[in-house]
Amino acid sequence: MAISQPLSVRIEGETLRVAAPQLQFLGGDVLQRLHNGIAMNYVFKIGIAPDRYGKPINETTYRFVVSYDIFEEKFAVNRISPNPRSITHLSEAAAQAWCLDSLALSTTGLSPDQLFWVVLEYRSEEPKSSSSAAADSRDSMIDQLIDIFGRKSQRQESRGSFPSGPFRLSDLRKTR
Amino acid sequence: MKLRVVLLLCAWLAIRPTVFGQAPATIEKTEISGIPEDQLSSALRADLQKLVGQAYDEKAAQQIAERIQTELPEYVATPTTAPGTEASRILLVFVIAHNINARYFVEAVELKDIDKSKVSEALWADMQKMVGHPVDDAGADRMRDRLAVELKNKHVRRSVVRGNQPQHVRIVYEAPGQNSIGFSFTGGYHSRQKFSGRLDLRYTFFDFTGVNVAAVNNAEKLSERYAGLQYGYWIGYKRVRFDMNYSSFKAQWSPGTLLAASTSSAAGLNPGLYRLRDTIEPTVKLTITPGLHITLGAFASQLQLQSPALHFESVRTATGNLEYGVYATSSGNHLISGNYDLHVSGNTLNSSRTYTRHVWDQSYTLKRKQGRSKYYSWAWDRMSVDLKLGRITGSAPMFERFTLGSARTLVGWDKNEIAPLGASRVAYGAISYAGKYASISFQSGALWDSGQPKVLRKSIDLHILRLGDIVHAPGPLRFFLNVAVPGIGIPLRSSNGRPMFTLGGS
Repeated sequence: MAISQPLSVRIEGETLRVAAPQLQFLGGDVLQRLHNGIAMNYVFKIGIAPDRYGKPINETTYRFVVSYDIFEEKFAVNRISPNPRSITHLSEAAAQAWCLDSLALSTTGLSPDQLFWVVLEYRSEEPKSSSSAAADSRDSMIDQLIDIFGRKSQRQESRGSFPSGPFRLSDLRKTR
Repeated sequence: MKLRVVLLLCAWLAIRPTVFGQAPATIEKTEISGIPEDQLSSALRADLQKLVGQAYDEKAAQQIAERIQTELPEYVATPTTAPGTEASRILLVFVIAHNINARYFVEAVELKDIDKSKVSEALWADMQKMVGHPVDDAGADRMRDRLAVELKNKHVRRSVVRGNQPQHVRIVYEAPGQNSIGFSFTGGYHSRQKFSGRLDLRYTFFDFTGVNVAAVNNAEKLSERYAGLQYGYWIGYKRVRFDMNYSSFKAQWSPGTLLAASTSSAAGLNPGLYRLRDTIEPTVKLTITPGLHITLGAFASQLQLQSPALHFESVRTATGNLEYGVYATSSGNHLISGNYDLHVSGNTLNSSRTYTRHVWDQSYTLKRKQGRSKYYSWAWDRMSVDLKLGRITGSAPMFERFTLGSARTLVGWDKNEIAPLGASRVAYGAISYAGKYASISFQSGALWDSGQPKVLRKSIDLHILRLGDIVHAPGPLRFFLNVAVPGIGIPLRSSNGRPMFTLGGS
């Protein structure tokens, strides 16, 4: 179990940006799936909460598709939303860093001395085809029970939540 | 002269493509793969058409791909070529997809662990239609789903692996079975305590529930050698696992233990040597995080005692265990792990013994990373520090008492010599280093009963790892020599420091 280090948070203009060098979301079964040439969807949610367990007040969702070139042994990342963009020829660490570097939060509405927490959540899943979604809905109750209790779901792979704080805007490092 | 001219001509023909390069192929057709073509601007589509009939220029194709990516920034666009209808012609395909592997062409579609006779001809034919085209994730997944329906197995997996031709891949469909059966054998040898071994047979249904049977003959774990069968059933749901184990073991005591027991009995303290031990043990294991587990349970043992007369004792104990493991750094090289184990038995459980047993095991392991993470083995280049502290209060049965001096702890000493009846207190520590082909450890420990003096014993333990590799043994012999792990334990004492030989330790 890796010790979850707090996110490091900085200000760029009017936005908050995060870095999490300890967070390795391309690991375990997901990495194996990527090495098998399968693309993985990642959904990141980042928000500001008044306290550690509070509900984020302005949450933004980012969607990525990560794939691994089985010949060149490099990662490619597509940011689907917001602001679609793609990048290729990345190492594992660079692919993870690129995803996290994309995440940004507006600081509008936060006063300089207000305490707040930054909550980062992610989950990954193998892209699901429409036919498999339809097939799932036709499953018998026994099939569904086996799916719930049985072998780890093929599509739901990993997830994590990293609340970090408390921060004050006035204390944060400004990079621009 | 003629011959010289012919040779020069041949040489010229041979080196001409190398010196001047092959004549570029003509683009016979351009295609867009992965998205409907109308998602591109009309200007870009027109420029694509202009390429037809021109000589293939890699730089120009790359520029078109960049323009596609500018228009569709959420995709990766890659130009790739396929043979045309004539040798000098090619198809220029722009693959637009989320998966970077979409730029490779499918060389073959294969089945692994799937009986092909169970796949319909229609599906097999449709699967083979993917050959010769770029990898289409959506299409390949549709085939997987159809396969899952035909095989009635929802767990069909798909993978993309390198093909035999450059830039070509194979799509492999695999269907893991619902049922799995496995067996394993572990064993060891100690020159005083002789052989110990365990043969496990397991049946698992969908990693969800399973049963196992084990044949056990063990001389190193407890004061006695015990042999018999153990049956288990488990069922797991996400972070909760329920286990139910039943075991029936016959006990065999060493002459030293029998002598010590008779001496103890003469002094009015009957240690309670048993001949048979039947135990039923239900437990529930909760996984709080991947590195933190709590196990709660109970066991009820029925002991058939042989002294002073044949009779039965019933020991009922509540158990709790906290197991943890934490990597101190993100590199994963520093592992801090351990567990705390608590057994409580008393009148409230209607037990014939009243006791409490605490054990704390703690270890720190430093693993040196070698090369890329997927290739290095943690078993190599490892340093570790282990500590064990244990305490029993009350009158615990023999199988709960602590021992040291086996093929794994205080190697070089014999447990039957140190404390033939075990002890109610234990303190043990070891510092170990394991390289690729050998390991060495310094071990130190003491066993005592309340009110008795503590005697600290020390030993040095050496093991040869991967003996089969060292001697370059052939085939199966190499496997057996590698798992044999011969070792020697040297007791550090002033007299009678005869070493113990072990197999299967480290």
